[in-house]
Amino acid sequence: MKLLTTNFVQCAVKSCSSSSNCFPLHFTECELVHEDLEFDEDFIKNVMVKIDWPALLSVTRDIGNNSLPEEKPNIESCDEQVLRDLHLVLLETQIKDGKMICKNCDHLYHIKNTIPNFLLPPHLA
Amino acid sequence: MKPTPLTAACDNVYEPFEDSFFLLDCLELEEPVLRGFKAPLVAEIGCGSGVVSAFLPSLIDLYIPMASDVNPAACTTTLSTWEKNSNTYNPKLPEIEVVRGSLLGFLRPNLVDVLVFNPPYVSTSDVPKLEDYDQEDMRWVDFALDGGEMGMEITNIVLENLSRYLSPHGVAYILLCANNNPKKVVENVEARGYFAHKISERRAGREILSVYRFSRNELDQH
Repeated sequence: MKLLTTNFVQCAVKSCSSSSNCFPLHFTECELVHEDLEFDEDFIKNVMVKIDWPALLSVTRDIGNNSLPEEKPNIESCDEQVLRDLHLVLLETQIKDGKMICKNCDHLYHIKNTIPNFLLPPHLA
Repeated sequence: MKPTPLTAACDNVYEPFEDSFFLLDCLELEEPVLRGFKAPLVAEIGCGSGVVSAFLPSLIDLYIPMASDVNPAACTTTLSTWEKNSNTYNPKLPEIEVVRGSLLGFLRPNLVDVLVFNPPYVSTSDVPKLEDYDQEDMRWVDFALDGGEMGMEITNIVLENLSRYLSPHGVAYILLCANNNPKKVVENVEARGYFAHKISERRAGREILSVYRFSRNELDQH
């Protein structure tokens, strides 16, 4: 699962969807891999429009990456290097195996062989 | 006509059939609409073999590809199918994110720009229950077929959640068969403030299939 996707997923438990704690999930025991992808300036700029910055910071800190600035960079005026760094973090960094935990209900989700599993047991579905 | 993607071996996964190929043809007709989005999040529900998801790179230049399925074999098959065709893709296109999950219940609201769904549309006495299937079960394909009452039980859940799933300019492409009563489906979706447009209709054996585009905003008809 790409780090980009951590910015899109939340706890799948219905009763959590009204809680602000269901996103972002807390990531732990993550094994990261790097997947090369050609850089495209316009694409990463358009992707950044969708990004919730505080949530991205929370997840990058969970996985031990403290390289991102506190404030969301201004995408239109920043250096190309900033965009290349974001490309690296969002699109080239994959969680191969790991765990995601809802900060509201503590439900644990697994990522196995890059595939996150959001299926719920019957009593939560 | 764009070439049909190669598919990986479909063990315990719904194999591409007439309905899948019809959906590809309809999506191809929609290329002008799809190209209007900038880096859209494109999510396929129930990706099965991955043939539909693997076709989309021929219609949209750069986007955020995502697919979900409850069937574990469908998740791995979709990744293999994507991989099999990736030499034809733009090298700047990220690899598809395949998520094992039920519909799109794991996504934050209002993110999906383009939703694609070839639902289980066969009318059956009930829909399969997840708790009756384990990882190694050989009947996962039931989830790709059994649509419950009028073949609409799963599609209805997706339609009821459109306003949760779709972004402000989002569109959804959904395949229906005549038994689903498309006229009634369209009425219900329009009653919720959506625009419905039939892309095309095709007879496939005993079935008459159609693909509809549902959108929050009115788009050009072509």
